[in-house]
Amino acid sequence: MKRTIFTLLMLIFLPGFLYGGADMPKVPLTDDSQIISENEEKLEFTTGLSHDDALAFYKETFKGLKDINFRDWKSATYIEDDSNRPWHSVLISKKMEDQKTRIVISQDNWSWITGTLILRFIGVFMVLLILYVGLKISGLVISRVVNRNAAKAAAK
Amino acid sequence: MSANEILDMLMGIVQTSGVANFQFNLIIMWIIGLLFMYLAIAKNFEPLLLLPIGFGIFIVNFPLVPLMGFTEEGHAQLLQFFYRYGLEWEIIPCVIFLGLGAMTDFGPLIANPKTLIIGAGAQLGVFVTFTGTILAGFTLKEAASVGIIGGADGPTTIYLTQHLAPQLLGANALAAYSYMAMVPLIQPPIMRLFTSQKERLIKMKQMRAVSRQEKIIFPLVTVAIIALLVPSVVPLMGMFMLGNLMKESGVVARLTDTAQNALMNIVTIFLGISVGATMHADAFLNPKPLFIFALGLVDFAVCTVGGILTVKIMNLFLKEKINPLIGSAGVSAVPMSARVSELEGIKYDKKNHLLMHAMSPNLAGVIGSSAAAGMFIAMFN
Repeated sequence: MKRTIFTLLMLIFLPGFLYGGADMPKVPLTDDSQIISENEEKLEFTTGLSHDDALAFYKETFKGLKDINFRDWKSATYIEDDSNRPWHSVLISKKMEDQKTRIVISQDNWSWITGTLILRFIGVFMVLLILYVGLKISGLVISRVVNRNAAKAAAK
Repeated sequence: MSANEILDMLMGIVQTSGVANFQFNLIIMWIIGLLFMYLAIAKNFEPLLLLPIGFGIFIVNFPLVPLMGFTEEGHAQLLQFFYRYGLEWEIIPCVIFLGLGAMTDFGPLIANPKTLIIGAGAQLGVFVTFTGTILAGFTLKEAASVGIIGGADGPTTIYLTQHLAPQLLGANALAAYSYMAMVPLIQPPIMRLFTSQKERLIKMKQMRAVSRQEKIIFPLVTVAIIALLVPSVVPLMGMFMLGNLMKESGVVARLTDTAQNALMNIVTIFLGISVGATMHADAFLNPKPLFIFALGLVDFAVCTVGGILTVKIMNLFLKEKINPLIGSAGVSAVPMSARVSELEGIKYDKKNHLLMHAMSPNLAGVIGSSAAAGMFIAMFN
């Protein structure tokens, strides 16, 4: 019986694991890029392009691709992949150093995924906690009003 | 008329029939559609939804049927019309929530608001499944839409899926409603595994009475807080609370009656058949739906565990203990999972009735799953 259940479970799960994501092209670098550091998780390089030119380059590169978000931060533009490409994000600094713009391509998205999930799970608790506090306060206020009115009615 | 003209006419009739354009993969979809109709009719598994969904699957999987396409003039055909203006525009899930709100009594939740925390804890599976789905190669948006299945809330699942991954609407909705119907099978073993004999015998104090004024204020307070914190789900929660306000105010009985009955029934029909109609063989027959079904089961199980564990953690700090059997009711299959808590409770003590206590986290789970959906939408906005 256990073997049958195990086999059935494998048959259910196996196609999903075989499925996997399609091969996606890696993020191209600008023509004049100079790599500062590179490891499994991150690729950092500089380019002579300004922030706006670098942004235009990547907008053109990613034109027509789905699930790519451009976020305008104070100090950088953050390009995030919301699908399952082999890269997670491209960070284009707005501040130029020695007339060069720093760009960081993050390959790893697991730390982002884990972090955002934990934060959002806690966020659900916070929303419901605040609702709990709201209900407690409104309950207290209403029960006082109701009791006062009942006392007035009883006094009459 | 010449023989050639007659032959030509006959060929034309044959070629515009379904038989000449038949594909064998359609048979698989017929079987799936018939299976869900069987589950609805013979086994009474969520018949209000599985019957129209099953029929929708069955009827769109015939060749050349003018149901999910567009006319030559560019007008949507029948089911495409329901899908576009009901689901694509996210109208139907919100109107269903209006009806559900008009049917819901939030008294148990108002009487015991700390069970809101259980409703939050029971969303654990949503986030765990999100991770598992990404490992399987789904995109982040697809993973979020699959994760919310564990929230056990059909309209929320449909709302979020349509928002993030409309290509998975059929599979997600089918998984959500199927597992909601199977809650009495899925939850009890988990409840027994994660609770001790002593915990199952915990008797909870009778809940206080809730005044009419509190029941009227509740939807206003809730929608205000949700709107401030998770505005992306206000279409859903707003309609839910409007329905509830209509019910509790007592001054719009006709509207409440319409929302509970006629309106609810109408949108349920359109929802079911539109969802089923999205499942054409060409879109549905790939490993993804199978994997979604498997993950949906894991999702429900982990959500059940999350609810029970949340109660156990709360009991470390509470003087008046909560029976952990009601923790599983945080999975918002209303009122099925609350009934499961009741049945499990009386198994160990015939006088320990947990139904009304379990309704509290059950209703909290609806708000919790909406909050989780809002968190996912915010992730991609």
